[in-house]
Amino acid sequence: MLPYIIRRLAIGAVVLVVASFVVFLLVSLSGDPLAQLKANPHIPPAVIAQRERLLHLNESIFARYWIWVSHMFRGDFGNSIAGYPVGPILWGKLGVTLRLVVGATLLSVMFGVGLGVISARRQYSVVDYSATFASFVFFSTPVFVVGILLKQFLAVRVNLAAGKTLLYTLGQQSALLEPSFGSRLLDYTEHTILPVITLTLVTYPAWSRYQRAEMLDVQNSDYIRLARAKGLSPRRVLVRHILRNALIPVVTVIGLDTAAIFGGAVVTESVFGWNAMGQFLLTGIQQIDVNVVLAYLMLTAGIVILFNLLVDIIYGYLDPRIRHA
Amino acid sequence: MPDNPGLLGGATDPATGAPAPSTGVGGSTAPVEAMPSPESFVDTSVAAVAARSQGRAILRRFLRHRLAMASLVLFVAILLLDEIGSRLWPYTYSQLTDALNSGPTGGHPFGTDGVGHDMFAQVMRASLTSIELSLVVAAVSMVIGVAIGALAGYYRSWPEAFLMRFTDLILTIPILAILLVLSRQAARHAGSWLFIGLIIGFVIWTSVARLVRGALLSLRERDFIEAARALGAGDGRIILRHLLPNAVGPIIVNTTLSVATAILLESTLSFLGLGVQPPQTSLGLLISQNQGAATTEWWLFAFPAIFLVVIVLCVNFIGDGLRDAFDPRQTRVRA
Amino acid sequence: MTFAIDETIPGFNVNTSADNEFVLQEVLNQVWPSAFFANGDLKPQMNTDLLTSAKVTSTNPETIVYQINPKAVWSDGTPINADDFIYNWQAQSGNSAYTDVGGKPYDDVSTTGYANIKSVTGSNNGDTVTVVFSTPFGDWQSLFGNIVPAHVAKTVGWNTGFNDYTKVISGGPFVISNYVKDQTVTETANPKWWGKKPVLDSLIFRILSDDSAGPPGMQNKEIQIFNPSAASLATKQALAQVPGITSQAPAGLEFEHMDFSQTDPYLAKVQVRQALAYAIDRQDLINRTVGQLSSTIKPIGDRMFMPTQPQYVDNGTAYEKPDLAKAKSLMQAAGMKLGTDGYFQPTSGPQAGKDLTFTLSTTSGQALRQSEEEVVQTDLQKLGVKVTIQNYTASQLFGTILPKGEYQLAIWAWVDTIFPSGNQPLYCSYTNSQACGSNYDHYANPQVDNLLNQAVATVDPTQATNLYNQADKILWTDMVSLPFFQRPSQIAWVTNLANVVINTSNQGYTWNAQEWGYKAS
Repeated sequence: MLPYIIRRLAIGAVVLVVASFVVFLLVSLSGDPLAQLKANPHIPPAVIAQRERLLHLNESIFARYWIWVSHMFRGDFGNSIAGYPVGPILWGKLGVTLRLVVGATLLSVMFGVGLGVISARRQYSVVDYSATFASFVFFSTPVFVVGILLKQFLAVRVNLAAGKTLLYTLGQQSALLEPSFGSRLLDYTEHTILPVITLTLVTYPAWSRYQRAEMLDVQNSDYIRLARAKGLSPRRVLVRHILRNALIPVVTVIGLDTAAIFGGAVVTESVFGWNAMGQFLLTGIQQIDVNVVLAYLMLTAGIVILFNLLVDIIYGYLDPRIRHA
Repeated sequence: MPDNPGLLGGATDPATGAPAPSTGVGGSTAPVEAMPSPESFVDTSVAAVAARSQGRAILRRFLRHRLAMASLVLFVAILLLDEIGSRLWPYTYSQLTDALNSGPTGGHPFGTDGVGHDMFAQVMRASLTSIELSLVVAAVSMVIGVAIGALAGYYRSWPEAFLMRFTDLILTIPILAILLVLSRQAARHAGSWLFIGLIIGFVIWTSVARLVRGALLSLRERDFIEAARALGAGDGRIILRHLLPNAVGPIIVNTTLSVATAILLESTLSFLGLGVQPPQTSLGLLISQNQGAATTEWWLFAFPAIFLVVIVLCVNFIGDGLRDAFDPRQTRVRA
Repeated sequence: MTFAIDETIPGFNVNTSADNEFVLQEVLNQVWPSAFFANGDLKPQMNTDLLTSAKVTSTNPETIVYQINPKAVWSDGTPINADDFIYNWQAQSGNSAYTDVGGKPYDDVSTTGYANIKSVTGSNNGDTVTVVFSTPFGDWQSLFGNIVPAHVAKTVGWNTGFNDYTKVISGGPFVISNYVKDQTVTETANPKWWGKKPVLDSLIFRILSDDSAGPPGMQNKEIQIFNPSAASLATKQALAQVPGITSQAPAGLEFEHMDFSQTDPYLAKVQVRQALAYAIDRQDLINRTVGQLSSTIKPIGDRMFMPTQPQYVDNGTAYEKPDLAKAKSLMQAAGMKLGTDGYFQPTSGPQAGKDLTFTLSTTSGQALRQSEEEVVQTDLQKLGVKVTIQNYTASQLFGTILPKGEYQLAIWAWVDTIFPSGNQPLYCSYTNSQACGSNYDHYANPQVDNLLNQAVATVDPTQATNLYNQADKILWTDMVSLPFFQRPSQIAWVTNLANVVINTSNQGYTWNAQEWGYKAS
């Protein structure tokens, strides 16, 4: 197990390095971050020269990349072009984004897998057909359309009916929060419900369909037929044999989609005005702020790699075929 | 030349079947925003081997699939409307009429916007751009994907390593982040829908590539390939005439589904302001421009959104139908 | 009371190029004192809490004497006196003899005016400040705004020392008591404030990442006043649905205009420029765009002053309504032949024999500008001139395209202040690249240079206004640029909040926030 983990981490590190270099090139070559400054006639050239030196803009791309890498190895994400250090800001924003990502993943797993199982058990029934149709529709809708519809129609109606604001559409928390843990938790929840639902609605369909396919495959397989033939109770067959085998493969699919969920989170955060990783990345790209974009990249890619590793270890543990390989 | 054997029995293809943890980040690829690949959604896990003489059987199965047929008809209808209807319609998409912000009426069935555009003309034009763009994406990703996948599956040396690592790259970084950076890159061309189509195509070819690689991997040791080599066929001929045709099914399905993926990705890019730029238009751009009007001038938001969802839905159903047509194993799901 | 702003704050020294932003001005209005500020009538008003008087005591050399209120102190107890004035001058003079901590050059967003000062001296125990100019500067009231505390800046540094909000001590009614980066700035009453106590006990600035979050925020009672950086119809409609608020879209001091680059051989001809100007229906342009936001917006007739300013004169009456016939005859006078397809074709030059085509450029990603381009394109098509649209990102447009003259027609906005001397670098001859860096159009007219030079140095405001308007008349005759309309700003506040006075200058709406309070209901 250990050599496997180390090998995976090593591969992951290589991937990160290559990705960082490619993205560094793309971002650095997309324009001059000081362009607007240079256009301002009032700013003395000495000031511009100083900023250029601070951002190392006069040096070659490779030299600049090397500077970034050497800082990275010390755990320093560098400074944004505005001058403040990226690292501390990033962790705070990551925490906020994780509320959305973790919430959506959990909800999608429960809802998607559950729906997939039910659809498979009641194949060709009304439930199956309507769940399938709903899955297709949500799968075909961009996440921002779902978000906008929920914001404009669901939130307004619910809040009106309740007489107070239950579903917040602005930001990730209120401006003035009482410090008590309970009220903070409630506030975060009220702000997170709609975005999580939005991201879940576009994530669950694929997992639901996959789970349904797995269930059908297992349900109709020979060894299940044997178990039934042996006279085992349907419940025992379902729980001890079908589910135990069918629930495992979807785990890997979930791991594979982690990067996509982060991508979807960027859009969802934009729709709901959250001040988190998504806005961080978008601003960094607009302003050609290399350190910001790379920091986002390293963090999300790192999380995805680690999560996939975890998922594969769990999968390896759960799947007896692999365990004894 | 012996005929190719039939279906691959019940064996699942190693590259796209049950994910094997030891090959690193393996399995289905090319996530779309928060959605996993079209493969795992519409289960193309069987590298169906459809011989050319079975083409007619495949066609028959597709025609019998009612939902897919209906979707195909609707899709073609929309395409015709966009191409031909826009020529017959009295207003062009860039024309400024004197009706400002009017709701749907006889003269303007989709209403007008604040500057005076006829929304029906705009939606037709935007649909056309979105569809054209996604077709470009499909073509680009198919060509690159098949090429890399074939090389990786057949030669197994550096092309395979490159493919595997590139796939890892694509899987670990949110595609959206890559696309955002790329579209910012050459801002002079950033507005052109063709450019957006190309960069999306350059990023989502990995799922086709893995498919093709998997198919070739399982087939290259087969007897009929040995026979072809013994008869003196070169590598190129073997790949093109014997191996690839067997992967045609999944390639077609995957390429079809990538059309849907492309439209969704492009609309997201446009929504974030980094996709198609005015004066060109696309469905994503129209939705983005009018999102604030969803409750006040609903026609500005609703019609582009409906068209977008319907088009993508149709493509997904068509892809599903194709997958069913290529894979007659009835134990798998039916739409 | 929460005030929503939609841009982030890099640091607090608004006088540096790094931090200079409109929203920061709104935050600092109640914190750092200014000698003069722009009031709601768009006139400079002396800060009577800080100064007891500010007079021009001599015009040759120009000498100003400020009398600082002896009660004026910073929130750490240090008196506000001549040392602060001296420091602020040195930091913004552009003189390399003065450096920030560590010997670094000062980062200034502008040295205009300060560069003309010869000396600043204190007397009378630091309560009297005498400023002597080496070259006359008419807009002296624009100086010594947002005064940075000298004794703090000399330790922490002008350039980056105020990125730490705790160093931003106050000389105004409020102090910055808390700052959560990219989220909120909290201001509470300054215990050392010597003037009239503010009514509200706290001002919170909430940073929104998107304007669309404003109206729901007001609905949820999370924010009480909302000032988006870009006015839009969608925001207006969304605000209209929120109960209990007042929402307005007053015309701002920022105006949209289209410029003609005279590096193009055809646009170098004044008749071509005039023809294009006669072809564009500016009122129709307004109707299709900002007119839906505010019905009072009209085409502008003066580049130096906006219709909402008292100094405004309509110098462009000739172009009030479009005149296609005149435009066509002007084109023919410029040597264009009307082709059979309805488009003009030049008889000489790079486009000879082909349909005359110009590229029109502006910043991408702005719905308003796209609409402006479409109307211009349609109008010019009616005249018989083709327009292709080629847009750029803001940093490309302002960083490369405009300064290098790589455009033909371009639309963008100038942000005016209440002080017109900022107009000089826009219209003085481009050959003087040092002083006229914003003249992207390659325009040169020695008469305009003369008038502007005089205007900038004239201390008498009426005389100066006259000179500026004379220069503007020539700009109309030469059709250097075609001003379109004032961009509306947008402001909404809960009706219960009293004493909010509209201020469309870049002073911002918080200019009198010390007088805001909730009405007793």
